[in-house]
Amino acid sequence: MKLPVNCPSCENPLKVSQLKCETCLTEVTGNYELPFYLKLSREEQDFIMNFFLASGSIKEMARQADTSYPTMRNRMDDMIAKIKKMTGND
Amino acid sequence: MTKRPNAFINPFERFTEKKLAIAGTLCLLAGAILFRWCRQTNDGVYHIAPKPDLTLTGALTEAICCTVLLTALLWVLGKFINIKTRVIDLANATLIHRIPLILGILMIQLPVVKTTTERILHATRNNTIQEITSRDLSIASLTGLLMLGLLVYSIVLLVNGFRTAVHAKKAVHYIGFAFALILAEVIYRSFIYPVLSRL
Repeated sequence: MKLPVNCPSCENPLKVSQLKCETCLTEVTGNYELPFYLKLSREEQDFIMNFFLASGSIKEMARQADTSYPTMRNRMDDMIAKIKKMTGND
Repeated sequence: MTKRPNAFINPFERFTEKKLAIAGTLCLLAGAILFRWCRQTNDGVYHIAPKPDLTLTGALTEAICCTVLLTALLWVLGKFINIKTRVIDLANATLIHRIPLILGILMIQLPVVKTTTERILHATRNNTIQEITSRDLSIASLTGLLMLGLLVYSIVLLVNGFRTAVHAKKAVHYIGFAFALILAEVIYRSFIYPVLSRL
């Protein structure tokens, strides 16, 4: 099941308010930030995972996705720009 | 889900630089042979003229000079826009975008087009325009339209190749691109072609 990261009503980022142990059913309630990685879309998460699995080779990722190297590099640049904006490192 | 790039409009998003370079180089060679066969010289990057004494070496040199000049200018511009720009991607874009232009040369060599053009030229020179038939005009118009379409397609290919290679996004990048094309034409016509035509 896909984890929602934005509010379906107002589209603001969602936070974690409850965690539950499946074994003893202990429930933890609070106001936790979502881990940064989970704030990305599913496609972006897959991109990062693929980059990791390809040992950081954009060329290998391009080969696997059957696209050209500059196309993959441009996608990577777009994601870097987005992440820098999200983390305030722009 | 990532959208699959359209290989007809933008082959540079899809094919590897190796495949593009092979296709581009083969077309450059085929183009030079075609120019030699048709005795047409590249007196501008985007202009041709008849030259009865054109040699194969001359046609090949012209094609290489046009490609190298355009690639160099686009690469310098690309480096300003995006430091990661690679020369191979721009060389491929420049090589591939010549394919529709080569097809255009092939089209005007068709016997029916050639005969019509000669008839219209003859009638214009001898002031006998009334001899031009509606069939001649239709063929000439259709050829002109097809040539225009091929030129537009060629520029579309170059724009897409440039955009993919440098990751251009802003309007100023495309203004720079247009300026590079004009500059290439001016440099080639003013400095390179006069030297090549003497060889």
